[in-house]
Amino acid sequence: MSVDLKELLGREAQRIRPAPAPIDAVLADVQTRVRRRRIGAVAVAAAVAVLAVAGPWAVGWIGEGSTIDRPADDLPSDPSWGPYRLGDTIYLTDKVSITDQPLADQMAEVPDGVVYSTDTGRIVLFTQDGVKRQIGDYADTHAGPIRQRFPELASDLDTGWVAWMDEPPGQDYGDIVLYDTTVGAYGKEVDRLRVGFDGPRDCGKARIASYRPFAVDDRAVYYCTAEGDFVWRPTGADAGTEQIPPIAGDPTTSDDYLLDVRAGRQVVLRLGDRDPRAEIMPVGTMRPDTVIRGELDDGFLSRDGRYLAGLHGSGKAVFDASTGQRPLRTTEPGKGPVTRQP
Amino acid sequence: MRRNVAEYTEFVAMRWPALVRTAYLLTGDHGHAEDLAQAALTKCLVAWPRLRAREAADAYVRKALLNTYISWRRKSSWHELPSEDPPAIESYDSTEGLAQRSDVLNALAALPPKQRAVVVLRFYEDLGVRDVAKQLGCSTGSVKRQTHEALKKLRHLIGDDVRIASGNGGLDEGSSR
Repeated sequence: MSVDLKELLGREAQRIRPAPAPIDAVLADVQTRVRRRRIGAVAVAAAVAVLAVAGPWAVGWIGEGSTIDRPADDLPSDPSWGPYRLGDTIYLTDKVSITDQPLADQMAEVPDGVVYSTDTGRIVLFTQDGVKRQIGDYADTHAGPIRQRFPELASDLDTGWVAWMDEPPGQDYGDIVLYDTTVGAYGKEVDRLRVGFDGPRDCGKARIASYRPFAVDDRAVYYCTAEGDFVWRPTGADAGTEQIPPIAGDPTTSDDYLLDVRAGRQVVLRLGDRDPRAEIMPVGTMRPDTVIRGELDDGFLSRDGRYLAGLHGSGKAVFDASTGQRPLRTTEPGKGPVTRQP
Repeated sequence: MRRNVAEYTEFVAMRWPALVRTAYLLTGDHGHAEDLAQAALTKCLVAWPRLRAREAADAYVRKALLNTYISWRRKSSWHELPSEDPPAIESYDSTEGLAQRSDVLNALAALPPKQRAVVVLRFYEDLGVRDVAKQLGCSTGSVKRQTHEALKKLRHLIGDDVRIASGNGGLDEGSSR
């Protein structure tokens, strides 16, 4: 028996029974909407240099089904860059990348390995000795109109700190968990910060809520909420939380937002209708010393703050953060894949 | 404003099930589909005062749905893995049907986002090449190429017993209706 595609699609679509239209949620969402498309500053993730040279544990970690892509264009080699992620691809070195979506979901590089989240609600520290150890949990609460199943992880190589949002089921708050991976054999939780979910959770992205840490730098955790960006300093004389002044206008409606913080430098994206651009400046200031014109997606700073990478137009672009010059031509990530079976 | 909200509410009530179903074919997941449809409707409400004609609203919300879908696929941690054991759905009433449903969802999951969107628009929404190009913001030539590539993959994945021929979007891959 044969069936045509249209019939298959129609039958497939009829399988589901949509819930009642979420009119109230949409109206509420728009009224106080966070329009900041905070796309991924997901800081540089990844697999540590050891992974790049494919130690035995690394190969095991890559697992079946992974592919290693060799981009058609050479990317600049710079040791400060380290492994990084753009879209669904993790670039282990400038020339070698891994396309492995489960891995690319959420990872953060720490001094002795990598921390990642699993689809079973665990936060796992994977160290270079090949040991995986659960260091925390997160919850898939489905509390808001937009689901969050994978928390975003933010980390700092200098301190070994990694942060994520843990959401107890059925509650209207979450805890930002800060974990120090350098203490003892497998690290230790430093502190937690409770954040109330007082506003909408849609920031234009399916699985990354508006409430999340997005950068850790200089013993401070940067996180966003529906009300704006905040910095949390859990230790030291200036311990506490502080709201970062709105980048422009009302933080609940602005298209401008803080994208990433690294090595004392911060990137502000201004994505309004006119003159979209990225501005780079020292932390705590609002006067940019570098301006990059055009709309940038999924960007992040290199470890030392010298470079800014992101999706620019239809491909990847890397900019010199001090001059705004693009040191390489735009490339399409993952072009010319060469599949390798580990 | 109150009038706008009333009109919008009526629009959402009418369009919601169809949007969710289209989104389901794009995402392969009921939960994601509702998220996607809701995100599209949120964008539509923001633009609502500018969308005076009903046709404009239909086109706008569909375009918002597609853009959001492609954007999420490109930017986010969204991933969909083909399943060998899809959950049983009571309303799906035949063993053969289950197998075909699994095949078609798995096959769709193997397509790049834009090709998947082209397939859904042409073979489910029954749009012509020009309309698809308009919705996706690309050329008709691009739509034809994407259609050709997608159909080739689907034929390979679904198997020879599945005809890819029906209505406006069927065998006439090169049509510019």
